[in-house]
Amino acid sequence: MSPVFHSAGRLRTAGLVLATGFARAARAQAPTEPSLVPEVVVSGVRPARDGAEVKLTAARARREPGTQGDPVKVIENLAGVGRAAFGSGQLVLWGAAPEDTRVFVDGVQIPQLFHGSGIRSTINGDLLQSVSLTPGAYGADYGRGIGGLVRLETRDLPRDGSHVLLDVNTLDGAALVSAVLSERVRFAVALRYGWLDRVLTAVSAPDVGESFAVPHYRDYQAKVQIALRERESLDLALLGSGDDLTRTVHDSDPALARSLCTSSSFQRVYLRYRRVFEDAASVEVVPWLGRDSKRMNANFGANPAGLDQRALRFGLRAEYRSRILPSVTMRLGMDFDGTQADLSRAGSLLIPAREGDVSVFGQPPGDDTNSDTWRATALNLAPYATLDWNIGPLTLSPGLRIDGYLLETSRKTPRVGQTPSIGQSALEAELEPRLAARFRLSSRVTLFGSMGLYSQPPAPADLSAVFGTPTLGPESASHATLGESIEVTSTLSAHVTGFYRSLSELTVRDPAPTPHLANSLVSSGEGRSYGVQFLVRQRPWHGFFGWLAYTVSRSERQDTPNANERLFDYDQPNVVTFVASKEQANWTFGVRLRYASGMPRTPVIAALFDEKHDRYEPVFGSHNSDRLPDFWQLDVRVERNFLLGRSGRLLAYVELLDLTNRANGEEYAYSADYTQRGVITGLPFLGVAGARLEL
Amino acid sequence: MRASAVLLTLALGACRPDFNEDEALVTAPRVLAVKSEPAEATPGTPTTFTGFVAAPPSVPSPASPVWSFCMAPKPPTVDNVVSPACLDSVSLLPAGEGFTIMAPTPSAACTLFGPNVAASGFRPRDPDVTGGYFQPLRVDLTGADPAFHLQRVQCGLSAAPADIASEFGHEYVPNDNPHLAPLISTIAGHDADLSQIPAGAQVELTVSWPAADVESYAYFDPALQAITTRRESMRVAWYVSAGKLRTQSSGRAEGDLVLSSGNVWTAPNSSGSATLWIVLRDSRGGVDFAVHQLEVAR
Repeated sequence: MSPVFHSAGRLRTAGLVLATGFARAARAQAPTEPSLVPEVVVSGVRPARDGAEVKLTAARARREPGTQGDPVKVIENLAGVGRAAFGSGQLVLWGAAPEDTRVFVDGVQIPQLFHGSGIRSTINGDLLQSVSLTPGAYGADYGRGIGGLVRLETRDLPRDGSHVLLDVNTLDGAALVSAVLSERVRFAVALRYGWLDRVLTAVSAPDVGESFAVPHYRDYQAKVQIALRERESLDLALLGSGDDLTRTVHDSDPALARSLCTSSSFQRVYLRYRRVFEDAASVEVVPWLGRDSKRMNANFGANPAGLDQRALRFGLRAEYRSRILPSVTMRLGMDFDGTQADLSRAGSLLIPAREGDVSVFGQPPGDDTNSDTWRATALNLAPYATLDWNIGPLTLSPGLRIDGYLLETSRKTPRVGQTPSIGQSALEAELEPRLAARFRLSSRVTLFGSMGLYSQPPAPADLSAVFGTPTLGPESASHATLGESIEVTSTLSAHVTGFYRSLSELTVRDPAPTPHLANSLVSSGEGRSYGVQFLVRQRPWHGFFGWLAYTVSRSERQDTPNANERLFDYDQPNVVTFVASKEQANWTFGVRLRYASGMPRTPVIAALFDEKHDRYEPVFGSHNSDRLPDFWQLDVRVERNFLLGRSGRLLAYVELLDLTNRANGEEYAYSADYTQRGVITGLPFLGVAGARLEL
Repeated sequence: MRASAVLLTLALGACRPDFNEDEALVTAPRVLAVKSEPAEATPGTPTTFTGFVAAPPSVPSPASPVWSFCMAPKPPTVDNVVSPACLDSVSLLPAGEGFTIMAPTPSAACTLFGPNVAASGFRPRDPDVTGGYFQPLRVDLTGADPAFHLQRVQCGLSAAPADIASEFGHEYVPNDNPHLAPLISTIAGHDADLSQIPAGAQVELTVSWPAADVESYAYFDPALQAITTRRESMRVAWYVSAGKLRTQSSGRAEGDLVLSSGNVWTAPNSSGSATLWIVLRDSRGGVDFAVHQLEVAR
């Protein structure tokens, strides 16, 4: 393991969470690594304290096959991560709904980790220090989510000279420039612009755009790092991302013409103040401000469907860490988050779709249309405290988080003419204890476990008096894990983690034929997911690096107390990922093999003829009682490193996705009268070639 | 599917299955449309329903269809136009048997399927994009999937302020069925005799309708909370027992002022009889239909 020094002067083994202070000391760099490589190197995949967290360095992660040079995409290869449907960019962690997982950059929440296609992350990987994934049972310092947790840490900027980084490939182009303005001030700006949509249009089948969305995307970041005093720094950062997608299907029958126009964007500006005191205590304060925007306008013939969300986001994270006893480290923090969202929606109740909706690909939404505009405000203040208590071989990390929610909506009942609206306001408090423990049985074997309670506020889009329910409260969950780590050799380890997640008060559609007024959604959903994940990891050894991850799980939902239990829409009982890389001189060869069970689907067992619309409509069988075909994919990556002078290099790479050209089934499609079923296949083979210049 | 290589990129496209189906070809008896008089009924009043049943000449004439009103409201969570309960007999109210029946539209239609609620505190049903509410009427034809006609019912406005509801009541004119004008058929720009069509010929078919049948109507816009005026769109469904139609449906959008719609039928390469069924629908649920015999000669 590579040692990592921290400003507090303590030595920790690489891969453990940087719990105290922030890294300042420059690490010795491998000869082939340029100066832009992060200063603190946390090598390889390694579980952190509670066993559920996996953290990788961005420098290592971007070189894994299947990532197309994007370190954040390595998350898809980790244990506990379900495969997202092609083009969705969703994160399915331990059977949790994608919208239940939270993503943070330096402690600042962002709304989406990947651009709409899932092909690229929304943050330039060259600005990242590390990528961290916790599928569940995380500590008290984070909350407002009942799923998993993804944390991205931006890196310290280079302390010497100016640097330029260019990356151009089939998917997109990116540039990063960093410079030292003075002894105390450094800055970096990055920009990425996607063109895969145009590439696919030029070289692929015309129906690609009808079946799968490849949006036009771009993102940008800027960071200024100011060294204030000894062991004290201030960062100012800007994050921005945007996606646009337009699809139109023309038809001689206007009732069959379809169009979809979506756009989403977010911006974040934050300060990050960090200071390490002489006694090794530290403080970190991150105030932030941002905007989220998401628009969807669709037309199914004459039926419109639109949702426009614009949200002002703001927050503050502050944490103080101190060793209060030789064996006890304490963290006290406050996590504040605010959202003020203005929304308008029109069209069918069933667009956008929700988890649990029963439909088939391409099915038009119901005829029922309505309209609403509303404002939703959610304030969350969450003080928390955690301890890390070392008792011989046992480390206990109890924590407590108190989530206080103020939830307001501008309209409690549907609008009637110009009658002034009556708003809705509610205060909710959730007490959320968390506990993690590690017990070192021997120098090679460690047991670990964690558990906790979690909650999340309702989504602003669900608080409409017409399309949702203004009085919805938080959803809640309890997580538990238990596992074991075995260091087989100094570089080879094995980990097994069992997990259980129970969900309650989930927001679901009211299935009643006639719901109550302003009550289209109810908090009656329950669910659970459980399983075991296995990870065998080879840390760098004679240039070889890789892991084998296998997760077996089951995820179920029950929408109402009287409803039958059903499989979760994203349930994938078996997910296997094998990743291996070998460095040989200036060459690196990588391979990735993925297998995932097909996701559940509801079969069509008959059809009826809708005379009004002159079309057949499906009659469904048991909810989610069928599955899509299993998914297999083999990817290969080859890269060649060319040194340019003393500090520059050129990296040329080719990545072949789905080398065996297997046409994986991504969705079922039916004939017009529902008598035939076929499979929509994803991209059978995609070659990504690119070059990366670092100066 | 088209594929080509550009530079170092090779991408074969995602692919939808090709079912090789002809939606316009009638191969078994089926209900194509239902015409009701009046086209928009007041609940509780007698209404005449006429089924437009198609069967290819090669199969025996179908038995009389059986009609039933479905009395189960559709949950808002269902994409289909009717509740799954409409497939069960317990939710059905017998309405008659025959190709044409007369039955009163259920008096509870506006409560079950319209904006009226049985008790305060419940959500009124949402109208369709034309502001309409519909009573489902099931038509069972032996050997065919169950068909559902949606009978537009006149319910007024309940979720609007009283003054707007009153104004709407005065301005709204119930829907009338449209009327198909005689079919125009040509081959290579010349009038075609449908009783003597050359084998393999491409027959251009054009249907039209009177301007008065494209009605403008009062519409309560829930976004504006005001009454606006909309114009009907028109759809034409085409069916044939032999040969091939270029498209199964065509039409004119709400803002399209053209009063006709066309299609092309490619006659079979062998002589024989064929049947052409045409259904004209307006966007408020009005229907007209016509049937034409086609004779193909070598």
